[in-house]
Amino acid sequence: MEVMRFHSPYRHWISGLLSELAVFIGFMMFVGLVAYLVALVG
Amino acid sequence: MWVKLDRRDARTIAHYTGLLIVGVGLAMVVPLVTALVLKEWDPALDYLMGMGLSCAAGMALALSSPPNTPLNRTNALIVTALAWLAASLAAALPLAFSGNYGSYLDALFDAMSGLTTSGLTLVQDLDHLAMSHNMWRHFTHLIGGQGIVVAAVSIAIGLRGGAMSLYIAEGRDEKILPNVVHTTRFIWFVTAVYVVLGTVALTVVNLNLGMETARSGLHAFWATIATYDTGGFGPQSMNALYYHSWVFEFITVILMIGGTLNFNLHADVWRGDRKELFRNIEARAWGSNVLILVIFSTIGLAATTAFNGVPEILRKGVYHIFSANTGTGHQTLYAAQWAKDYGGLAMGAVILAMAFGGMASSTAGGIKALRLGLIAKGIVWRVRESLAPPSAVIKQRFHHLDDRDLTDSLLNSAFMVFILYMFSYITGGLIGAAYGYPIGDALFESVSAAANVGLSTGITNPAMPALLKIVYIVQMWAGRLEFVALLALFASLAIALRRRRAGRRSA
Repeated sequence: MEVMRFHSPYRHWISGLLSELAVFIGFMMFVGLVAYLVALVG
Repeated sequence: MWVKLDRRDARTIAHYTGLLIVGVGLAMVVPLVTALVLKEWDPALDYLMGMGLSCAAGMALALSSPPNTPLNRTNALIVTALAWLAASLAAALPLAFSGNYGSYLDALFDAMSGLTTSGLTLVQDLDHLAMSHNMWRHFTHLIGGQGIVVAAVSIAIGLRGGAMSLYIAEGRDEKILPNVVHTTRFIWFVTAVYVVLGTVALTVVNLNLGMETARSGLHAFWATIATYDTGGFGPQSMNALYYHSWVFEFITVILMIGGTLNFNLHADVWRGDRKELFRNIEARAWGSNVLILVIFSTIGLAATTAFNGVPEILRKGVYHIFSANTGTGHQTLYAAQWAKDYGGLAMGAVILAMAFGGMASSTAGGIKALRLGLIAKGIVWRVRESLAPPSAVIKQRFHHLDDRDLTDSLLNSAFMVFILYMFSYITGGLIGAAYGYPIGDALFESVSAAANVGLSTGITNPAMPALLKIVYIVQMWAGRLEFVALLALFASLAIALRRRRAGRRSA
C-alpha cells in the first residue's frame, strides 16, 4: 500500500488540475444556489 | 521530564536560524530587481540595505556552528518558532526604511502578517506605495505561505541535516512523497501552476477593466499570490473592493479554495484519485462548514437593509465566508461596514468561518477542518460507546487519505489545539475590549489575527495602541505555528533562565 501511496503525482497533473477546478467551480455554484434560495425565502 | 538545552544546542539553533535569515535576505532580490526595472531608486536602496543587514546578521549566527550539524526534534521545534520571528525582523527592515510605516514595530507587524499569510496591515498611504514595496509585501505571502522551512528546504540553502525535523516542526507532519525534498518541490510545483494560471486569468480581467498592461500584470500576480497563499494583502487600500468586478471575485474564490486544499489532496487528485475529494473527512468537514455558514450569513444579510437585492447579498455573503474560512482575508467592504451594515448574525458567521479555518497541510490558518471533523467523529464515537453494552469494543473509523481508526491520542491532540486557538481568540478579544473597542469588533479582529485571516473592522490601523499591535503579532505568530513550537520555545527560555538563576544562587 505504501508503494501505491507514493505514485508520482506529476504524471496526470493536467487532468488532476482540471478535475480540481471543476469540483471547485461546482461547489461554488452549489453554495451560491443554496444561498440564492435562502435569500429568496429570507 | 523537561529537556534542557546546553550551549551546543544554542549554537545549533543559532546556526539554522541564521541560515533562514540569510534566505530571507536573498529573497529581497525580487523587490530589488522590481525597483531597478521600474527605476524606483530610493526603494532599491532600501532593499540593498535590507539585504546587507539580513545577510550579515544571518551569516554571523550561522557561523556559530559548523555546517551540516545534526538537528534533533527539540531543536527543530525551537528553530521553527524562532524562524518566523527572525524572518519577520529581517523582512521588516526594507519596509521600515521605506517611510511608509509609523515605526519599526508597524513594519514588523506587516512583515509578520505577510509571512504568516494573515493580511492585516499598518502601512500608511498604501495607494501611493512604491511597486517594489508592494512586491515585497506580497512576496512575503509566497515565502511564508509555502512555509519558510519548506521554502528553505526546496531552495536547499544547506538544511540537509535537519530538513525532516524542521518540516515536521512546522506543523506539516504528512509527507506527500517519500523524500522531504521531493515533497517540498511538489508543493512548489502545485503553487507554480496555480500562480501562473491565476496571474494570466486576472491579468485578462484587469485589462478588461481598463488598467494599463504592466499594472494589470503586477496587480494580477499580487492578487494571485495573496489569494492562493491565503494571505490577503492588496496593493490598494480598498482591497478587493477596488476592482468592482464579479469575475475578479469568482476567480479569486477559486484560488482561495485551491490554496486551502490540503497538499495531500492535491497530490491524490493529481495522481488520478478524484474520489478522495469526496470521501476525505477533511474535505467533507470543510465543505459542510462553508455551506452552513453561508446559509447563516445569507439569512443575516437578508434581514439587513444595507444591500440591495439578492445578487448583492450573494456577492457580499458568499465571498466573505470563503475569504474568511480559507484564511485569505480579502474583503469587498469598507472596514466600517462590518459593524454598521453587515448585521450581527452575518458577522457572527464570518467570525466562526475565520475561527474554524481551512484544511491542514495548506496555507490556511485557524483550527482546521480536519480537527473539527475528528472532533465531530469523536462525539459520535462517545455517544455510540455510551449506548453499547459495557463489554462491547466500539471502534470509530474515518477516511483521510486511507481508512483509519479514530484513537484517543488523535482526539486529544485535536481538542488540545482547538482549546489553544479558542484561548487565543478570546484573550485577544478581551484585550481589545479592555482598550475600549466594542467586544464584537475586538473579537472579530482577534480571531482574524490568530487564525491568520486578515479581515478587519478597522481596529488594525497605525494609531492603535502599541501593546495591541504586539498582541496581534504574537497571535499571528502563534496561530501560524499552531502553538506547539512557540510553547516549546517559551518553555525552553523559561528553563534556561531558571538554570541561570539557580547557577548564580549556588555561586
